[in-house]
Amino acid sequence: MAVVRIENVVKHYGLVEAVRGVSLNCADGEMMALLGPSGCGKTTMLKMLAGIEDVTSGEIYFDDEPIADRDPSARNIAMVFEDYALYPRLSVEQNIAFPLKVRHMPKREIKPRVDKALDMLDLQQFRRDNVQRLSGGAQQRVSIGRALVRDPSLILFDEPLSHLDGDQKVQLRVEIKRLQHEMGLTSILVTHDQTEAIAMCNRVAVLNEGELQQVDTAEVVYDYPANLFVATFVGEPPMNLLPAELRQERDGLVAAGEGWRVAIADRQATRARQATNRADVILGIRPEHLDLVPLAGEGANGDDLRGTVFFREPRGDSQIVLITSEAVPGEGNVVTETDSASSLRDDEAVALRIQPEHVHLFDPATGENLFARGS
Amino acid sequence: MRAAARRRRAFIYLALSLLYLVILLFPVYWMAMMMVKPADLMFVRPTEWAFSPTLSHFEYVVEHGFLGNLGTSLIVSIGSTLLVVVIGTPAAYAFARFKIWRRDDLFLFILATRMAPPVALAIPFYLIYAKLDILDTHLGLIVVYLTFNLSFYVWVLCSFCRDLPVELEEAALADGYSRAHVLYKIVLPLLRPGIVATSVLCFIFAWNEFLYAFLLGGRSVKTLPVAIPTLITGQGVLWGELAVVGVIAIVPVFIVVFYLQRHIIRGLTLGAVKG
Repeated sequence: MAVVRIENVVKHYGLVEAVRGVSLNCADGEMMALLGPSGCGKTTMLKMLAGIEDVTSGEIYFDDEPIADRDPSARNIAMVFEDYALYPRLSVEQNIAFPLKVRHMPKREIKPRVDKALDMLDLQQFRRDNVQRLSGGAQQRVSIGRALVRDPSLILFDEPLSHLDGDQKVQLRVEIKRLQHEMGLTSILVTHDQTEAIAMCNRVAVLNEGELQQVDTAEVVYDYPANLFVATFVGEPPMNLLPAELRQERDGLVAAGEGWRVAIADRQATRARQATNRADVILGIRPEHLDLVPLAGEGANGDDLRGTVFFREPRGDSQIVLITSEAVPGEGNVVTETDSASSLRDDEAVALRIQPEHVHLFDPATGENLFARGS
Repeated sequence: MRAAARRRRAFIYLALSLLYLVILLFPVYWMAMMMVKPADLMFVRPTEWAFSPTLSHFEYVVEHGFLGNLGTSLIVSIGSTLLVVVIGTPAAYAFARFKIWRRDDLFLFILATRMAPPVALAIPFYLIYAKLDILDTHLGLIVVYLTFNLSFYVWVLCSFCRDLPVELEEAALADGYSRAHVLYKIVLPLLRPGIVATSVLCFIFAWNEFLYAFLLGGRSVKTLPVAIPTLITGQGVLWGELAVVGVIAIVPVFIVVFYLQRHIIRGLTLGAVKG
């Protein structure tokens, strides 16, 4: 296993800049996710780590050794692919033994290693079967076995669970995490699925348009998104974004929009003031941090956001409610999450209260989070 | 009741298939019969079905060196097909996989060599061959078939290459193979049905070709399609001998197709059916 250091790596395909200067460290035994929408450069990053694609500029180090110029075979990496990429016509056993055979390891050394891999992945019963007859989940286990069998410095997972269905997906997710943890494998997982990234990885690196947006633990990425992209990409349903105006009032800094206002805590207000002088900002608030308050009686007050229920999506223990509101311009909706017992009806008028401690403010020009955690 | 209906249906299918087979194979049977039919009974009416077979047609064919023509045909067809496979396979793979400068233009240009009707190129070929002094040589015919078959082969095989999963090659690279090893050990075995199906078509094209064989060969290097018309002589048509040479010309194609049948079917249906 190795420490992986990526320094200012750039990749051009002709005029297209696929990766624009990404620097990233992956500690020994760490599992890191490269998360982003399609075309963000995450697969290109993976191929450069593997040596299948050259880097245009920059350097990659495994344990302080520069390897960007080396052939894939000289890097000691292993890959697990989305569609398994097993060698057809070979048996399970032969597939797993393949990387060892290529390295001319003596037969008597190959056997115990393959046996160990088969045991670990619960594949002994299939050892002589042709890989093409196995289920998707079993095929992917074989492919993981092929990766583990030779103690690679780094394992690259390229959307390993995308082709599997529900229960196999969850099962293999747990299994990969367990093996990775037990064996202390340095791993990089490429995925567009945030659930996968959060469930499996120690840290998540969010990429967009070839640039690194944020690297941190899943919790930090979720609670303190570095910019608008991360805020909307991570989290399901995504964060609500409301155009707002910052103004100084008697009780401190206040963000206000069409029909609502919320006070900004002093500590955050200081940060926001340091970050920008502009009055127009974007306020971000996650669906679960918007509370439905009753309109009648002592419920709603003048600070609450008003709207009407547009659509409800039951999610078992909770429900997602889409609300049309003047606070959001154009076709947009405000999304909130409430418990499933609530007796909302379509077209019902509602009020929403913003939890002030969970508010984010973004610069509309740069997209930066104005509360950026002091580095 | 139902079983009976099914049996009757099966019987009708069988009868129809047999009828079709008879229609299909009757000319072949007729040709085979002509091989051993004495010349004087050839066109007797009503047809003579029972006759004592003669080997005189075979003797004539052997004496007049038609086996040499068979050899020439084999050398030229196999030689050009092998060269097409050796040159065309890496080319097709490269077109499918690598980002080559102006790849699509080059690819179309390759096909352009096949757009002109063959006869339009006959005279240029003749003049070039005369200058190079390779008229009437095996090499000359091999090269001319190469120019025709290569474009076809590269085009067809390239689509086979595109259908191969690139991840498999990447997996092999990650597992420690070099590019050359990947091509040899991973790509080629997977491409085999495609290579077989396409090269068989190239072989058959070269085997049947007449125009260039006639113009650029003709005297010492004479392929079967060129040799066969020499049996239509001033003294009359030698039907029996014609039948013998005709059968000789068909047999290698039969052998190739039967022997490689499995591969050809897989090759021709590859890409159509995934999984």
